[in-house]
Amino acid sequence: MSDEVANPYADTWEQLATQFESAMRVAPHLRTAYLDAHFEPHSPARAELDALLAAAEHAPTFLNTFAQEIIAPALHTAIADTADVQPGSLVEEIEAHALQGRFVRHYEVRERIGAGGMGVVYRGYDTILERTVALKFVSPARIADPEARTQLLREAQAVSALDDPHVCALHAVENMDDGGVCLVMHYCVGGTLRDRLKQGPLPLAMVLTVARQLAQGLACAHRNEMVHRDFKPANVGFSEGDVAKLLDFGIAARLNSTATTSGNLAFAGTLPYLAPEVIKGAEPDARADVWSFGVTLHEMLTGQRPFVAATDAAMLYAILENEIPIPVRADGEAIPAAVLSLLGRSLQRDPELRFANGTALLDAFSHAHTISNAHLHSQPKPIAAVPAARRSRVPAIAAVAIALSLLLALAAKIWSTRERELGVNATLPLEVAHSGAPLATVAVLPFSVRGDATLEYLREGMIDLLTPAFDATGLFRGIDPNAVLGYNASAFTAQRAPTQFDSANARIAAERLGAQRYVTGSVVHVGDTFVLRAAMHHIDGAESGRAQVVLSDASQLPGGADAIVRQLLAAELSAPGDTLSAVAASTTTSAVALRAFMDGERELRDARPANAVSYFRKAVQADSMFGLAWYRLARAARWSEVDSLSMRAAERAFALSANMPLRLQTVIRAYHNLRAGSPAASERELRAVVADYPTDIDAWMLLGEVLFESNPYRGHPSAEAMLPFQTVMKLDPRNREVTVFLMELAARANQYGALDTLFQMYFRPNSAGEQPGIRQTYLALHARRTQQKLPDRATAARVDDPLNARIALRRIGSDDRDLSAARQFATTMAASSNPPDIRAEGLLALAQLEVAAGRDRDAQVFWSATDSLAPFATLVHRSLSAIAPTLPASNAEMRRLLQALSGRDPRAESTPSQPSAAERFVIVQYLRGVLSLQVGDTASVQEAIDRIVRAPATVSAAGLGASLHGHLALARGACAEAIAFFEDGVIDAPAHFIHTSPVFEQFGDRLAHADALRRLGRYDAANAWYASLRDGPALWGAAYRDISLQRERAVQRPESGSCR
Amino acid sequence: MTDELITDLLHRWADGDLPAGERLYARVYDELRAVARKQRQRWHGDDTLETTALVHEVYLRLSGSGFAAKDRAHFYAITARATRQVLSNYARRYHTKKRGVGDVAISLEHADPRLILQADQPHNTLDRLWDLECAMQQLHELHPRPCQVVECRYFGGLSIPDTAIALGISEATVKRDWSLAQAWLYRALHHHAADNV
Repeated sequence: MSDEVANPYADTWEQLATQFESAMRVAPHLRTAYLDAHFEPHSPARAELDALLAAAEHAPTFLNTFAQEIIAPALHTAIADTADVQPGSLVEEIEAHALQGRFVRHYEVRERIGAGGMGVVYRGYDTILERTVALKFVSPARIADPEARTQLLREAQAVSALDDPHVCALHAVENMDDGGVCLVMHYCVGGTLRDRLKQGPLPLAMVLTVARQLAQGLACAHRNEMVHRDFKPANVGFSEGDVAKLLDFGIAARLNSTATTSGNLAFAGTLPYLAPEVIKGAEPDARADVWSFGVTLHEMLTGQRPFVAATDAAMLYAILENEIPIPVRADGEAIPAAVLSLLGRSLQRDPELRFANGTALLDAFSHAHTISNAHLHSQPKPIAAVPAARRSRVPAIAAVAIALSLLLALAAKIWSTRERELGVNATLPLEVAHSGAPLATVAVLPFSVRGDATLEYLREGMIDLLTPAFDATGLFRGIDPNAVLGYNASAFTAQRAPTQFDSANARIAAERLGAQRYVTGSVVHVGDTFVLRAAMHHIDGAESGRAQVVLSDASQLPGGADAIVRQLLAAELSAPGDTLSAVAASTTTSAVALRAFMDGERELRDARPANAVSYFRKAVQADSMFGLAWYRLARAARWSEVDSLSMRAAERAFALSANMPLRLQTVIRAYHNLRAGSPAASERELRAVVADYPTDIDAWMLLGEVLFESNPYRGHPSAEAMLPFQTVMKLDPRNREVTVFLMELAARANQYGALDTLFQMYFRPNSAGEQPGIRQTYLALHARRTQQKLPDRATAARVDDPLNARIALRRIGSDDRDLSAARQFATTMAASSNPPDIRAEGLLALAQLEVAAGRDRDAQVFWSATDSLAPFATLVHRSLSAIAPTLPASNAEMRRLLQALSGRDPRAESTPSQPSAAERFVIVQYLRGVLSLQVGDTASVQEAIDRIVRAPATVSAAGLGASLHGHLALARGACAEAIAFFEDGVIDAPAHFIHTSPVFEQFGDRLAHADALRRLGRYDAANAWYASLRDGPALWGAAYRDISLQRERAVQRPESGSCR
Repeated sequence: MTDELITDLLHRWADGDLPAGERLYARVYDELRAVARKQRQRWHGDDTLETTALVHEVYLRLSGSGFAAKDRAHFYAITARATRQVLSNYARRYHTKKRGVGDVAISLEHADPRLILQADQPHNTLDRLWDLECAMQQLHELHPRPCQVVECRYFGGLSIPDTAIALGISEATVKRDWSLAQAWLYRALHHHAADNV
């Protein structure tokens, strides 16, 4: 219903209807005189009215006759059709309709179950084998060409030869009298995958089962050199017990490509599922099926295809060019890394990099499955699994026999770890794609051993220990120990006296081995302890990190090796400033988790929250007790607007924080308070942390966020957040996350010079993975402000995606003098194709803009549109607008609203969205209170307060109840008392909660609070509250902008209202 | 499906849950066709169908007795829309086919004989039905609300108070829209007729 928003005629209709109604009320013989008196004689408006009034005389009779003579018989015929069909297929439908009840050989044709590109499908009954079958009739026109017919029959034969439970069986092919063909197939009782995806993404367990079954079906076909060519959810059926089956192998696509084209695009298959090389003209092969499988898997996981576009051309472009998004499940369930990896390899644009065929896919699946099982029941691999070549490396000296067996067990463990972790991660194309470089190679060089000749085996043994541990991180590829040892046998043989391996030699060795990093180290036996030391170097010789562990006996070697690698990693990856990496390294034992965590930190700092989310997810997947990663996941999810995930992760982090260092505990508690508790408490805690640790970037950042988000509601300027954010900027100049907040603050303060500088810092050419809504918001702001076209990304200045528009609208506080941008975003959101919640938000925003401009009637139009979408929110907005200073409502209107409110107990309504039913009850009572006050009914205000007090406590109840008291006191002229109430009335709740209803933003309460302060002569305090009404996102406070400015200016001339 | 589910869908739809509305609509649409087919059989195909009777029977079949007045109004409104949809689909199909016949000379032996017979008459039922649908679309472009009012009043036989409840607008607005929309449609349909002659 975007027409309601942008409809230029809507006013015309209202006007015309009113004039028409007035004219119709006048007796017919006086009508001309009436019209003459009100309209120009020859004006278009008059002509229009004349024509319609003339029509009105005959209209009712005419429409009645029309109903009887046209509509009734037409309805009669219309319903005779068995089903609705697309306009083009009527002929086929009629043709096939005649089939019902007939027999094709021994198959009885029963009801029609569908129609596709190639013909109609009926449910049929095999009277000999007594089973239900699907009968697909291919019309003669489709196979008129003898070659096409031969091809179809050949493919049908091939498919019928496939023997796999996940390929839909083709029982028979029957020739029809008219030259058409009937395919007799297994009947899928459970509908298609497409039907199921219409309800949204599938549960993860089911995705894995279905995907595996489909891979199996593909593998069978590919082994038999069959290519599906049109793999998509619509071609996946479910038979009894939800067994997935591939439908229409080869045939459908073949027929469609010969008989039809879709628009101008003439290739077999269905566009959104087509592989890039097929689009470019390649003949589809098994790898094209693998791609389509990938698209389908993505859709099963997320409910969305990886590429979304409005037109065919845009879809083509998206498939060929767009970044392939990392899937994130809306239910917050983590997608196993193995599945991500498998998906990534299926969706490689280069077919060479993809799984070669269904068999490879199925192998990967089996592997992935074993891995996820292995995580559950981790069994140590038997020693026999260690390659024989490895064993012979270690010298068989009797004295070290025990240590040797220990080492072997250890190597086995690490290799199995490597199987488990590296098997997934080393091939993970997503990682390679996102880190932008292939894995760095690292050579572990022989260690020096001192103090104990029996430990000499560790000289080479450390190579065997550390190399797989590096591999297991997924960040490095270890140079094969065989290669290292073979590099210079004479230099490294154990027979030679151990010499200190000098740095020049080490560098040359590493270079020759093709490594980009090398590790040297020593094992020193002192008394009862072993000291392991290691240093990692870049190939240019520069040291990138050092590590040291002390072990009390050889049995601790496995843990020691892991610890060495973790320390080296942390040093290699650590970010500038006082960051969390050191803490992270000490709070997880999983190198995979640590690595994912580091990647996530980098993405977050670089303002690519979506990527960060997926890395942190991986981290917590590898180590579910990794509280720090949960915490960062919460932060990243919040940033990419996945609130539910953010809350869950925050809870989890909070629950796990007890074992963390005290400072981190405090920060996580503060974050939890900021998101789910009291921002005031959060501020106190964070101030304590930054006082003790003035370089804690994270604490400064959070402090900034608390002040930025909550200050306006507490009567403090959001500009107080400037200092914390600037501190973050000073400590970590590369942090882009903070530039977003600084931009917003600069814009609010009209500091456009600063805005431009920040803008330059934020907008780098590569925007992959950024939060697009934020990017577009500020691009739009910048474009409007500078009135100039941006050189390269001018198009991005338009925010035309509803979700981005929502983000933009919610942030539009940046430009309170220019609400035209808000109008643009809101209009985008209000488009009828959008989900109802987004539409409602857009329409309510449009209404709000009209309210702010004092255009009551226009606001009403939008509200009448939102009434069916979001009745409660509409009522709330109407009521709030009635008391807004720009649009004081009549008493009659207020009474109407009061009546509407009193007829409502939102606790009994089944609205699923926020705020909760209990909060809605409080909101209704509060609104009744403030409206009653306006009409002078103080008894009802008291009644509303009583109801709030009696209701079960909610987050907002105490605040809104106290505010009503405040209004009552102010009405009595008891200003001091009112102020005390209003102070208690401030809702100390997270911004996330405040934004669930405009009532919680307390504009009216804040205005009254300021008024009360002003009357008592507390001008500074009053001005702070007046200013708060213009602080923060501008849209909902727009109606209070002018009045707060006026009163702030007039503050030196207090009004004469008396105060006790 | 149970009565409760229909009511539930209705509530969710009224609260802005569009997918629920679509499912509800699909059910009503199916039911409408089923009822209409049955009525036709009952009358041996030789009587005309009353749209209001049709809508009412659909309502009785789906509702049971647990419907509040507001639900009933919403339900009638959605049934009215389904009725219009049945008719407009039918008219559109014919219209497309008719153009197809002229444009690419599809062999007539595949076409619906009913359509061919009707196509011989200059001002046949389907042309006029198509005109009505076009007029409704124009009206919708002008303003969606009167179009919804016409749907409820004309295709669903809703009373003025029920229409007001169903659309969440005042009775005065319904009256005003209905009065002007009738005149407007009359004029639009006569314009169409004139164009076609």
